[in-house]
Amino acid sequence: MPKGAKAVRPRIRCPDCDLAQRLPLRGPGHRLLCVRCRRLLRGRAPPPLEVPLCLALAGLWMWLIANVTPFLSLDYRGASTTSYLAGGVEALWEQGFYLLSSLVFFTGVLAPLLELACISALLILLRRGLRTRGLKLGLRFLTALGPWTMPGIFLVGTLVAGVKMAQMALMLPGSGFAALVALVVLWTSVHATLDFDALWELAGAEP
Amino acid sequence: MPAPTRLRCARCGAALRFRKPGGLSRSAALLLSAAILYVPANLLPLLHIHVVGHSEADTILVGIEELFLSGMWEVGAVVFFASIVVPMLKIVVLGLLLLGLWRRSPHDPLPRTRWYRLIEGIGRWSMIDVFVVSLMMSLVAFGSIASIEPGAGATCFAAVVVLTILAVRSFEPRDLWDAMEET
Repeated sequence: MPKGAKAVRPRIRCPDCDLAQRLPLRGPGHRLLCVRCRRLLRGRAPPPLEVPLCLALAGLWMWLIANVTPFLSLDYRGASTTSYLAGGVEALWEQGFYLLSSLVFFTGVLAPLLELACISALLILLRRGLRTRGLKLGLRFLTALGPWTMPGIFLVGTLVAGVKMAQMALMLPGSGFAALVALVVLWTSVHATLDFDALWELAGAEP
Repeated sequence: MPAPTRLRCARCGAALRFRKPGGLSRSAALLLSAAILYVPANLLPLLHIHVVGHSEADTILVGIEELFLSGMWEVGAVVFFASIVVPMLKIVVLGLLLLGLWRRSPHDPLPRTRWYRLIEGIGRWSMIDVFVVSLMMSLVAFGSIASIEPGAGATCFAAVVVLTILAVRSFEPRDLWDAMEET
């Protein structure tokens, strides 16, 4: 990795307005915005890697509980039905809505798992100082996953569906539901404490 | 002089490109498909609910109306925002951005960039209704109270959400600033 002023104050192009600019040194608590269009270029100095790692590992555990334990139960005149988080995926598939089923499965179930697992693996490797090519692939994978992880939106959808169903029957959230809430909080916290640019720098800049 | 091979980023190895690939046409094509599908997404029913005694086919708007009529207007407002306002906003705003670039009309790039950031951020919230459909199906899968089937509108709506997300992602905001740099 090149040492000296150029590495400390890199020259970049703004991804939104394309203006070439040299980033100043970041003071404590300072963010760096594009001088022309004020896009966020570098966020505040992030907490140490242990923080997002612990949050991500806790999130993975919550993901497991959310998917494996009962999610929502419905009580209608004594007859009770219990469904799991991925129950809708199964039901959609059985009805022949394969694309819809896959979409819900990917955005609500699989993507959060892949993202948290990938982040955890990357952070574990980075903390141990292991630099492999896998790191860069992992970071690029995370960038690709981007907008497709939406556990929070899944939760809101659950609340809307629950409210709609509550008109007809008694709704009982299970431990899976509580785990989903925890997962959303943890997932959001991981993103709040993780700085991707810092990860890229740690992953090394060899061509 | 040897022909240059693909340049790669020194940090991550991704291929370097001047701008996002596809140009205006990729974003416009995705947007057009989404706009066309938006009509059946709202006209065709999202869900078919069969309760003992009667059946109903609910479109997105009917579902929102029912929420308001049952007194749960807060939930109705959330669904209205996510399923009507957000997709429409994305379609209209992206359409205007693309139109402005295509006609090369002189403009102040900063507010347009802000509009772009807005639609980029709120895009996935429209997925709420898709999750609602899937969850409602899972709850009545055993047919004890009612049986619920997704309608054709559900697939159309999910397609609109995905297409608009892709359309916004393929839009290159740097194009908005080109005119400024040419002067």
